Amino acid sequence: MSGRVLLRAFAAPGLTIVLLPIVLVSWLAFFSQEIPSFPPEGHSLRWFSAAFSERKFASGFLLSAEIAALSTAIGLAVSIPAAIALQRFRFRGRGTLGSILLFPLVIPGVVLGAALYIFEVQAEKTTDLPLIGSYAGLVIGHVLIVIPWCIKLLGVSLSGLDRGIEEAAMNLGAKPWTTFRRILLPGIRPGLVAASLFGFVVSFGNLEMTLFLVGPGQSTLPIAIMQYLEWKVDPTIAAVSVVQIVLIGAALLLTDRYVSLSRVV
Amino acid sequence: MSRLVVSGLTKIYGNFAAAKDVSFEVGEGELVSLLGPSGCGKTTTLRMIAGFITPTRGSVTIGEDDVTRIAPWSRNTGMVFQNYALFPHMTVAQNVAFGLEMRRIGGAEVRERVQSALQMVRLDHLADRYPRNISGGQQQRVALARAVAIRPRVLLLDEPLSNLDAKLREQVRIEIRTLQQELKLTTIMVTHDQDEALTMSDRLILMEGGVVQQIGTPRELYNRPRSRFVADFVGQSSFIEGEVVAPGQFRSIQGALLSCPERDASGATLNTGKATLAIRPEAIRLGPAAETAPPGHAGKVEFVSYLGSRIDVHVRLATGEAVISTLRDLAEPLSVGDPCHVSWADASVTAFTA
Repeated sequence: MSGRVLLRAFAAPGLTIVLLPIVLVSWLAFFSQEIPSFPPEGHSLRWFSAAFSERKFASGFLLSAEIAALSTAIGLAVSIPAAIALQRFRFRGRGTLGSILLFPLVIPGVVLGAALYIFEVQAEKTTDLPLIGSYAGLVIGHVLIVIPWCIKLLGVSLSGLDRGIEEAAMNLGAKPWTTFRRILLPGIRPGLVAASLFGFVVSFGNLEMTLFLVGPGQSTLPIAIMQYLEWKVDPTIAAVSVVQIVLIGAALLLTDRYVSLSRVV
Repeated sequence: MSRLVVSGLTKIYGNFAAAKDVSFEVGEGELVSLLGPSGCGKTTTLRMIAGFITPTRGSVTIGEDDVTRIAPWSRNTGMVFQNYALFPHMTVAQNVAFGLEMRRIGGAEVRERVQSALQMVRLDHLADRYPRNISGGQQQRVALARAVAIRPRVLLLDEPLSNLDAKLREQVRIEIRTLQQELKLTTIMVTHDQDEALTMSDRLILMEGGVVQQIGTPRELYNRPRSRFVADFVGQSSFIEGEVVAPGQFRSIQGALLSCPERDASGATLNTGKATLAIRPEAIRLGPAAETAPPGHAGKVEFVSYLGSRIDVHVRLATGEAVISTLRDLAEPLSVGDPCHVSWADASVTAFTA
C-alpha cells in the first residue's frame, strides 16, 4: 500500500515532465493568434488547414513515410537472419558482431551523418557512382539506424521462443524453410511488429543524420519543419506536430493491442 | 509400424562420449524405455534416432531402411517432447493437422484424421482452443495426438510425464500405454523415473555414462540385476560390502559373517576377494527381538517411513550394517530404537564383485 503511494509519488513528476511539452504543443496548435503567447486570444483550427495546404509539409510527410517504410523493410530483411545467427549460433566474433550491429544506437546522429557524408564523398570520387545527396544514400543511412532496434527487439522475441517447436515441426515433416516460414516467423511476430514500428518511428523522426544526406529539393518532414521554423514561428508547426503525435500514438496503441509493448521493450 | 534397430550408435563431443556403442532392437508394437540418471546418454540416443543429432558412428534402421543419414523431416518418427513443444500460434486442431499438411494430405482427410486423433485422446471438444488456454495434461495429450496422427513408423517419447503432477502422471501413464498397445506403436520412451519405466515398458534399457548397462524386461532387471548400478537404480536394495572368505561365505567390512551365493550376478563363480551383497527390501523379514527362527541377526530400528500401502523400516544390525525392510503392515508397532530380529532367505541375496 505505502509502496504504491511511493511509486506514484515518483512516477507523477516523471510523467508530468514527459507529457507537459506534448500537452502544451497540442494546445498551442489550437491558438487562434499568430504569435504564440499566453493566454490564448481564442481557439481555431486554421493552423491545421495551413499545415495541410503547405506543400513542403505534405511532400515532406510523404518522403519521410516512404524512406521510413523502405528502410524498415530493408532493415528487417537484414536483421532477421542476423538476430537468428546471434541468438542461435556460437561462433568466433559473435560478441563483436552483436556490438557492431547495435553501434548506430550510441553514435550521435550528427557524427553518423558527417561520417556517412565523408564516406559518400570519398566513394563517389573513386567509383563515380552518384552517391552524394542520392535517394539510395539516404535510405542506406536510415537502414543503419533502423537495424539496432530490429536486432534488439527480434532478439528479445527469439530468446523467448522455445527451440523445441522448430524441432517438433521438422519431426512432423517440415523442411527448414517451411519451419522458418510456418513456425519461427509466426513465433516471433510480436518482435517483428515491434521492430517494424520502432524502425519506422526512428527513421521517420530522424533529423540530425538526415541533414547530411539529403540532396537538393529533398526534404523529409523533420527537415521541412526546421526550414519553416527558420523564417516563421506560428502554430502551423504545432499543428504538424499534433498530426505526427496522433499518428505515432495511434500506431503504438494499435501495436499494444497485439503485443504488450512493456513486455517487448 | 516397424521394427527399430540401433546398432553401435556412438556420439563423441570433443573427448567426451555422450553415447558409446549403444545397440538394441525394438520389435513391432513394443514399448522400450531408455532409463538412466541425467547425463547417461538416453536423450542423446533418442535424438539420434529422431535425426536431430548426427551420430559419430553406428546406424539406425527403421523397418528395412537405414535412416542414419536421413534428415529428421524425412524419417517419419513421431516425437512427443518433454515440454510438448506445441505451436503456440496454432489451435489444437491446427497443431495436430500440421504433420498431415506436410505430407500433402488433402483437406477432407486431414479433418477426418485430426478428428480421430483428438477423439483418441478425448480432446475433440477443445479442437479450436490455443495451447495456452488448455491445461498441462491436455497439452500433453495434444502433443501425443499430433505425433500419432502422422502414423509414424516409430513413436518417440521424451520424458513425457515429467511435467505433470503426481496424480495426473499415474493416469496419463495408463492412457499412453493403452493407446500404444491399441495402435501397436513401436515406441521408445526416455525417462529417468524407474516407476514410470517399470510400469509402462515391455523392456528396459538401463544406461549409465553413455553405455548400456543392461537390457531386459522390468522383471528381469528387478530380479536379476547384472551389476550393482542396476540393483541400485531399479528398485531399492540394501548393500553390504565386504569380502568373500570361502565359497558361500562372506565377511562384511564390519565383521559380520554371512552366507552368500556361490555365483555372482553375471553367473560367474564368486572367487574370494572383495564383493558386495544386495538384498531387496521385501526379502528382509523383521520379527520380535526374542525370536530365534529363522536364524538371523539382532538389529535395532533406526527409522520408520510410513507410506500408506507399505512401511519402510531402516534397521541397523548389531554388527553395524544398515538394511531396509519393506513391510505390508506391522503386526506390532515398531518404533525408533526398538530391538528386532532380522532375517532373510539366502536365495534372495545377489552378489556383485567389486
